[in-house]
Amino acid sequence: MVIKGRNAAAIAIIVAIAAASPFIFIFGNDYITGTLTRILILGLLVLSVELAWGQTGMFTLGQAVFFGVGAYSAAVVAKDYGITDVIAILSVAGFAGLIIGLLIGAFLFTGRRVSELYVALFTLALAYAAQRLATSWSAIGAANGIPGIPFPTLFGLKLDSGPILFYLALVVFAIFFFICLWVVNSQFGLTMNAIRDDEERAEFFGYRRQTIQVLVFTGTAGLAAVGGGLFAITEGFVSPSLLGIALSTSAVLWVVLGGKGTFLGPLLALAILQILDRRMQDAFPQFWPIAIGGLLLITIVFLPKGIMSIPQVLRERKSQRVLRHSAPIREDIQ
Amino acid sequence: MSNSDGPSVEPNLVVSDLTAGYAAGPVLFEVSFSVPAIGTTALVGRNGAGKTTLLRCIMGYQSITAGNVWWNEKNVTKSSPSQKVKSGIGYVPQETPVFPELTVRENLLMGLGAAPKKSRAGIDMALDIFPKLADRLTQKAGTMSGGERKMVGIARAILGQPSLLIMDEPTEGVWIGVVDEIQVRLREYAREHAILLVEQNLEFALDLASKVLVLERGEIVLQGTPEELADQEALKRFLTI
Repeated sequence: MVIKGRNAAAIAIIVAIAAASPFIFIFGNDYITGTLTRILILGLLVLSVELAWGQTGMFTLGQAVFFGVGAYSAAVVAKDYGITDVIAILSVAGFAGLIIGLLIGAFLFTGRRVSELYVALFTLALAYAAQRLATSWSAIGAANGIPGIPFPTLFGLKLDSGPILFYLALVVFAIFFFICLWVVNSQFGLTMNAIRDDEERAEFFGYRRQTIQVLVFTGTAGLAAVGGGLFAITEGFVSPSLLGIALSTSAVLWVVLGGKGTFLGPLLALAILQILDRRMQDAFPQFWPIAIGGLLLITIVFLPKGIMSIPQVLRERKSQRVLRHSAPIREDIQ
Repeated sequence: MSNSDGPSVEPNLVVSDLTAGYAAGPVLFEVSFSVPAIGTTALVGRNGAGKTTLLRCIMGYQSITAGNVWWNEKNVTKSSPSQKVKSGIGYVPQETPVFPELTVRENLLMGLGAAPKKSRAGIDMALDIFPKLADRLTQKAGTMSGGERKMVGIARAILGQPSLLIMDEPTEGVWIGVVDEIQVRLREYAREHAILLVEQNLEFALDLASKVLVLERGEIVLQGTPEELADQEALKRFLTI
């Protein structure tokens, strides 16, 4: 399992971010703080896609639905019910994601065997429907979404500055990141990988495929929803685009570029693209989307396993060069 | 033709009047046989006779039109594959019996995870059976040779110490040296457990078996001990393609 060998690097990056974070207070401006906070929040969405697709083989093109469900749940709880405690808000968001994920996962996987393509099309349609629903549902602000979500509190203390919200995102991300690492390194994670590789064989070996798929689908929905909840309380607004196809496919794009089957790669791809995105969107608004599309195509053709496979690709090319050079020597010997 | 059940051991798997097939038509017709609680029962037959379909029916992966499967006197006809594994039936499928993206160690751990808790042995047990695997624990199973993969598959199934080990063509495409090793290990395992073996290699199957079943066009046409079927020419006639 690729991810295991990179645990140390992934953990090191989290520790490095935590160690460097005091400088946010000293040197960071709103732009830097906001970008880093957003990376950490979207990181939860990326982790959920990686768990569902990269680790279990469920190709979800609608993971933003759960991110949006969490965001809207948090917005409603905070704004309409006046509950601002961050633990309560994220619990509600996560629970809403779990419930919706369980219902959809049970419908999708129970009593049938579905192909990767079927899951992709189903979840894509789900994202489309969810965004349309949110756009026309006046109770949740329709196309305008829900603005003016109050700042969260923790034990009565108001979390109302950029750096503090960054730390909040860092702590939440770190907690779920380590939970994800623990899951994939457990026996359950092994079973997830087995189902990804060959679900029929996993059943032959005595594993309850349907149960595991529903559990993972539900769990990843909850994880994405926590990310959505965090987004709502740090950004202060939610809109229908949070549930839609664009964010869902972006999450898949980050996983493809980074390398499916790893946590570190997709998170790196997310961070790089988010940092570039904010700069390039302003500097080259017309060129940048084309460049992103080209980058995706180049990656799929030349690095199908993502940026994390670059060292492996270089090693293979080197060994091929060695073989080519050694071929004439073998002929001489013969 | 004989109706003998082989060694004088009570059967723990009984298949009665099993009929099954696919959309294109029936494949198995009222198949009935039993597998003794100890020893190897070999199921032989030509390609397309229905051997793999029969194993899939027993494991609960292929739906049955009529008939029953009894396991330790319980009707398990409609039990799921996972329930059957939990109740002590291990299965080594015909195609690559491993997860190629997982390491050897992870494949073996998969065997532990699915087995009944009370009967789980440590990975060391698998390494005792196939010592060659000890040096390959961190290797991806997909990068091993066909024979080594079969070893991993068998070791994985044996880790749960199933009372009945069902194997579909364990020697198919395997180098002769590895076949001998597999045979030795299976012989040892069959001293205390039951094995139901589907095998094209007749010599391998008859050498291991205490009971032989011949499946022909979806029906059991011959069964008995290897001694009773000593006239192997008659047996070979059934198996000639």
